[in-house]
Amino acid sequence: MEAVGEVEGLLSRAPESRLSRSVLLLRRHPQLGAGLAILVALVTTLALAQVLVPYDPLRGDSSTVLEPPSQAHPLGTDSFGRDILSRIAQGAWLDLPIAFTTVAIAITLGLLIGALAGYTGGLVDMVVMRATDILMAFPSFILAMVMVAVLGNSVPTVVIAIAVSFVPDFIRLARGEVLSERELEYVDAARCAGNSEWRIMYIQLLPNCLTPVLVHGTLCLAWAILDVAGLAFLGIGITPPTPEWGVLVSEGVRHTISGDWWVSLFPGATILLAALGFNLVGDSLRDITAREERGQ
Amino acid sequence: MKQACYWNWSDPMSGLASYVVRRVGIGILALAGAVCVVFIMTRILPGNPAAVRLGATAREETLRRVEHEMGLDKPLILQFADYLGKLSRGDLGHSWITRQPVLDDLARRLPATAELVLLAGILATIVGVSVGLLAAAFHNSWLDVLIRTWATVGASMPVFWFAILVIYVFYYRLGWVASPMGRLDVSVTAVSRVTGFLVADSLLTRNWDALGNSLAHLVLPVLTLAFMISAPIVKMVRGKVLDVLKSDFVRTVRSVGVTQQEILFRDALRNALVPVVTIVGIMFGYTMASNVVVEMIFAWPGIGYYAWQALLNKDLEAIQGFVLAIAAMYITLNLVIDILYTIIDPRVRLT
Repeated sequence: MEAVGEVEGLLSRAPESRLSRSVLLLRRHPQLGAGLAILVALVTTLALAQVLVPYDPLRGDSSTVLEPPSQAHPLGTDSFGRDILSRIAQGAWLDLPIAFTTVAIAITLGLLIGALAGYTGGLVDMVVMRATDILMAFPSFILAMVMVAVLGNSVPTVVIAIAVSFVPDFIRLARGEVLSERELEYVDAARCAGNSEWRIMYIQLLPNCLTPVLVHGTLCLAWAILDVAGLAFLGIGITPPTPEWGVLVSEGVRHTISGDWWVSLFPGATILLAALGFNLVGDSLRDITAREERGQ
Repeated sequence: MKQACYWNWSDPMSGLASYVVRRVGIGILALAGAVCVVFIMTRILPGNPAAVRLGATAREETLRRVEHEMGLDKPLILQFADYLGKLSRGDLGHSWITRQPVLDDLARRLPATAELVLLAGILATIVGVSVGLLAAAFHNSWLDVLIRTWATVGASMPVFWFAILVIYVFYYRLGWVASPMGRLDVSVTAVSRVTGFLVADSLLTRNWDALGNSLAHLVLPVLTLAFMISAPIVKMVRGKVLDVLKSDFVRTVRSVGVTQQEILFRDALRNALVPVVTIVGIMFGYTMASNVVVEMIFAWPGIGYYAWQALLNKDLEAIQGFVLAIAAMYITLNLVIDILYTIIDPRVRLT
């Protein structure tokens, strides 16, 4: 009798609803919760900034130059009298879409090329692998740096340059997955059923790498933000007066040395928080999917 | 000839020669590819380098003259042949800012970067390995969580912001270090150049003022760079040590009665460190990228600063030379690591 009751108890403890399963997931992986919380908090604050602190991020007010954080200006003002919180919020509309676009392009290109290389094999595969190896002989940030310097300072060139530096990893990922699935029976079955090779390659085999792509993609989002900001700080890519986060930090450097710490601190902290959020989410996704593979 | 599919117990060096030859061949191919890519990047991409150099207000004749000087009016194939010819003679071109050969520029600035990167790398490795080991030893304790957080924060840290923070705290607020401008104060007697490493040179020439001053200048950049490099090292060491601790042979050793401490330092560390060697190659790229920013902020006269100036001024030949040098170093480093790794773990040779 006790045994039956125990089994019933066990069964009733298994979470039924999606909500309770999500809660359990978050409890087991606090990193995921932390990362998502940081991102949500960041986005909300920045979205609401325009409402709560309605200053024009591009227009200066010479009467409020270099003011430390106060009631009127929660994060202080810069050397032109512009409110820093507003500039950071404006910058979010630049940095975050750039990061997502970059990663989206890298994933698209990487998966298309990688799947083709893995499935076709032979000469195509060899050419793609050699090209990828050569591309990976350059540190990604330096590659992006040089590309932007040569192509010129603008948002599209930054996006392209950073996307190109991410593509090799996705090519390898897609190629690996396709290679390991290529010989399985269901591929033969699909071929017999009349599917074209293209269809098999992209619709049947590619979705297998969705999970690692998700993990790596999230981490790439963090790196994209850091790279864009880093390039902008060096004066490459996005330049003042565009309120990109890296530009904001560079604008504040000479003031930090003379004591006005807030001009660089807050934009930099935003970069850190954004990258941290994506890194935490990416790391926890990696842990979660690895665990699922091991059957836990 | 049939290839043995088991490791040759009697001769650990078997197959090494063929592997080395293969690996060097791949390295040379990669280098050749890098040479082509650099050429493509700076010539074929849209934009006229002469126009970029002269600016928007240049006159037609000046444009044509500079184009001819730069060899841009020749067909692409000839340009490529010129480029290859120059490379084979060791000529990386001339920087139009410094008016010196790029190779000389880089060679002169290399010791500054090397001093910075080597010190930071050593510091980061010592700290990173110890901390990673600590985290694995106290798995799931608050220390572990703290260390993991540090590693994740370090991986998300914008290096330029961290450098500014560090300058503000340690220079502006506390005044503990020298000003973040270059390697030596102007007021200190110059150090005669023996190796190019200021610390070594000032020791060798007994220039104690310079020794103290150069160290004071080194602290912040080294700290910044070391912090950035240590984050991935901590993560990797922790992961590897945890894996080893879960493995069968550790279970066996523990059942025989060896203490946790002995296991940690003898077996776990040794087995975990070997794969860590492989990330040195990847870390090089990451380190050079952080290094450019660090050199820029601290006005450190190394190759990173040179590259940044070249990029801002669109000094094409200098950019080309820098990227090629970096790629060459990267490829050589990975080559050496792969071969070393094969000597340590011969199973890799059979692939």
